[in-house]
Amino acid sequence: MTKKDSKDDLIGFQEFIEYKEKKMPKINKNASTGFELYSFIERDSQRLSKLLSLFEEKTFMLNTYPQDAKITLDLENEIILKKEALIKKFKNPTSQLNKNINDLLSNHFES
Amino acid sequence: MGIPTYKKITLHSHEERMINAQLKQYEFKDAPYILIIHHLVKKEEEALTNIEKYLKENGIHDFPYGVYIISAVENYLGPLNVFKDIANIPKFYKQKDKQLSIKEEQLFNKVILKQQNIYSMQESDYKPTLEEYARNHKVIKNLESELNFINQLDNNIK
Repeated sequence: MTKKDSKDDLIGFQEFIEYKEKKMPKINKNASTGFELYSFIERDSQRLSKLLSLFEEKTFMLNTYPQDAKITLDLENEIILKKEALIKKFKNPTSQLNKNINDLLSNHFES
Repeated sequence: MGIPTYKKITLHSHEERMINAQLKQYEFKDAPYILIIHHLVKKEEEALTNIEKYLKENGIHDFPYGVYIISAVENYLGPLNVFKDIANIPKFYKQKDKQLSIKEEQLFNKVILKQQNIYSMQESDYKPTLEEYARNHKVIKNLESELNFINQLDNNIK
């Protein structure tokens, strides 16, 4: 096995190791350096886009394809059917509620 | 035009005439505003009523940016956003007004366009639709809770 020259390992890194501080371009201290301000503007932009979408597209969709009337009608019909089924249950002579009411009334009038 | 951070206005008086004259100097469309009235002791409620009136008459809404009031009035039930202290208002717009970099400025130009777009929209185009939508949803909510009550009753009866 041949021993590798230790200088070979440094190829490509010499410049990095011998790096000396060079003149860096001046950073404008007033300008924001982080992403904080950028992300704030970005989020505000998204917020405004959502508002625009609500006022333009969604309002248009609500006007063109309203769903409220259909949902309300379906719910009203379902409530009527459920109420009818419930009353049938109440009226059944074998129902617990009917028995309780009978017991209550008969006890009251007997005494 | 700066980035939309909070702009503070300390109202000098509770009187309608004075409030109107002071608020007329601002457009309320490019940034959220904080109106400070807590120093108008015992006259704050009157000031709130006059601010409400001014904002309504001039078509100033909570969008694109809101108006926040700093007042000691408790249990206020009107349309305004009233807070006891500046520390309680939404933190989102508490940003330092810095000089923008080129990239930030490019993005901010888009924000300005959107602001102008929202502000130029006619209220009559969307307001009736949204109001009707909200009204109908209240009806649906009431019907839904009635249905839930009937279902609950049905499940409990043997």
